[in-house]
Amino acid sequence: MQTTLPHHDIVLLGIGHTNAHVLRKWKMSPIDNARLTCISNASLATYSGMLPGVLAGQYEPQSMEIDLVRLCAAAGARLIIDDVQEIDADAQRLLFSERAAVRFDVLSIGIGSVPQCTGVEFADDMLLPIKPMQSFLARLNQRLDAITRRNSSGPVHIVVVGGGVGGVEIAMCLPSRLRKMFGDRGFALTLITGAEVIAKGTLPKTERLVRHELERRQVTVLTEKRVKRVDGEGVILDDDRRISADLVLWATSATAPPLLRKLGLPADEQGFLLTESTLKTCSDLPIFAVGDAGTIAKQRTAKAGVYAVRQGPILWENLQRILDQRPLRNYTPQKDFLKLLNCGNGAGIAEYKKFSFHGKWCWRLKDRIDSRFMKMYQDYLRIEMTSWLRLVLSNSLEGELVVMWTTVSSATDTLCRMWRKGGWLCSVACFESPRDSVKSACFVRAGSAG
Amino acid sequence: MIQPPGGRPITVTADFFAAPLDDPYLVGRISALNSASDVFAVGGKALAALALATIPVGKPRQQEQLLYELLAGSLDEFRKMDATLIGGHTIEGPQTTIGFTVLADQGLKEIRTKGKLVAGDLLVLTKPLGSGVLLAAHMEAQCQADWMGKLVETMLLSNADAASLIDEFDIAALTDVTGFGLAGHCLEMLRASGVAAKISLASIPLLPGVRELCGNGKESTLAPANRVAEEEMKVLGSSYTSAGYRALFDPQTSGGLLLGVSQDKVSDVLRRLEGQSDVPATVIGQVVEKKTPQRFITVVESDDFL
Repeated sequence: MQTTLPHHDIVLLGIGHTNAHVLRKWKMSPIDNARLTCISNASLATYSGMLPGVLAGQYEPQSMEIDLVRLCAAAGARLIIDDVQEIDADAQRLLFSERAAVRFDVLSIGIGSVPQCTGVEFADDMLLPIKPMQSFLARLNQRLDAITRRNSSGPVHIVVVGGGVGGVEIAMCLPSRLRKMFGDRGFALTLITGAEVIAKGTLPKTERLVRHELERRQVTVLTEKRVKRVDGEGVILDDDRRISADLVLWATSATAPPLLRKLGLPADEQGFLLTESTLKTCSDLPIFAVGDAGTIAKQRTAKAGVYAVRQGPILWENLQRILDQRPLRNYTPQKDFLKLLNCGNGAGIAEYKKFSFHGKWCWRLKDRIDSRFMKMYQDYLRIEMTSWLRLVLSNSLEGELVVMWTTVSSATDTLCRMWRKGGWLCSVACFESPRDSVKSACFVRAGSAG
Repeated sequence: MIQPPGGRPITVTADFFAAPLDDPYLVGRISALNSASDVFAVGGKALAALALATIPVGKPRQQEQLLYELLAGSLDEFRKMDATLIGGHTIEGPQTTIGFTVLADQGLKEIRTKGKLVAGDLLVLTKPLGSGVLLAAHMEAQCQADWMGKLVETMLLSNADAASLIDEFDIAALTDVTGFGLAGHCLEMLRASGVAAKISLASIPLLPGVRELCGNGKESTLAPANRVAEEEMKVLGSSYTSAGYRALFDPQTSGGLLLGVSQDKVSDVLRRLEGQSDVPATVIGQVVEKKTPQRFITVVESDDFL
């Protein structure tokens, strides 16, 4: 229970990759005299990187979910489950339809993106957008069950609209689920993209590997075709060709969520908020826009989760700097990063710099990276780190050895903060046990600075 | 209850609590419902409320924001009851607490009490149990998102709807289940009515997550004190460790109403309650004659007798 009210209110709107990093950091060592409020329209956050694996039945649905109620409780942050309607910029308040407005001293907007579907007519509810991802699986299962119950025979037709990396991964991973569900009845999967190539943004060799995988799964690929209309029978393309479908999955390129347009902040042509390289929006307000929701005016990148992940540490640093009125740090988007695609059958496709690979090891690598990433966020143990560490260190003599049983990153992080604030200088030796990376011993040598 | 000379009778009640959640707006709403629940339980209609709050030391701006969120939440609920917030007082203290004195029009109808249970009546509970243990788990980051969602929904369900049935079905005896837990409040009713009751553990409704938490031995800090009711309870079978039994002592925040309903009306009452909300109302036991050496509450596992 708090005994005094904090001076600063830090508010995170939307808990995606970048804002979740701040929440995790907060759990390890909260910023002094500040309160963290997380606002989300759902009490679960979903890690999109593992969705194809869940579709393929390689993971349980829970393994891609982050329980925000528990994570916020563990971090000592408050969580508000509601939809923000607009921003009262002058008073620095977020307004809701019913609940009382929430004030902020600094705000980070990370509400992601939604699939583009302007210019398309939808005459039926057979369309299934992949976002909001929290409910995608439940909605998909509901539709598939309805199709099973429908008393017709013959193969089930499913169309995936969107040929980006997200769309092709779904097309590669969905067949194993469909085989299980529809068995003898069979199914036909069609992938439609407006682009000339599939998995746009990857190397030609990667595209060939993806095409080969799709052919093996008998997925029909239609490129340079746009969907004009979706009705009760299927989709109609811009050349008036009709493709019958029982279900249409919508996984097209990202566009801005409607809320971003209502905020009255500078935005790019798609509606994403324009930011400086510091991730702060191009306005006088202490508002950051991160992940897909922000577009860095001088360094445009594709909307991808990898950038959002790397923005996390910069945002965490800059939130503290803006409260201390220190100059902000710049984020530089990484040029090369490892791309990993799940093929859904125990193999994967990898791309790094100029090389493309296909193989079981690619999937194992992706599985390892994703599982480690999720493990960090699904750790709901409360750490009362700062207070007890401060106590231990303030009572230890110079050169004395302190042994802690904790995560390496949280120990180093706390020590760094203490060094900056209180002038402590410590040397840390960390021994991470190979079997359990969460808990490991840290030996800290305490000593005063200077 | 006050009977002003020449006027209509007025019921006055007061209730307050330490903020059970860190969202002041929700706390305000729950507090208003919790305070007004006593009024509903005697068949009154809330007219006006006075707020009493403690808020932590801080800068005026932060204090104002906290108070604004608390009162905005409570005002939303009082408005729904057609009651007004007419004033109050706030002091600084170590933690956030909020409560209300509620004034209600008792009308000219008979006041409802706890003491009019008759042997044969069925006991109907309008909300599932477990808010105490869930909130305790939340303090330790052990309350899952789906559990929390249902808990908040249940705490925000006003007892006004259920209370609106008491005239229609002429329900003579009722109480609201709060800090003393179901066992404590049920015992109060039985003592006042001079009857005993048989309660079925199989039909005790639990909020999602309560079975798991109670099964692991988790309980609210107030639960041990509520076990004092055990002196007047007899437990058949070996149900002492079951989650349903533990939940009988779980203190409720904005808990439901416990109604004594005659057998011929019970199916209509349940149907009406079902139509009011998604929160299930359940028959949990039956009132029986009190024989002198017998204890007030007999707890059995099965629900065969219902």
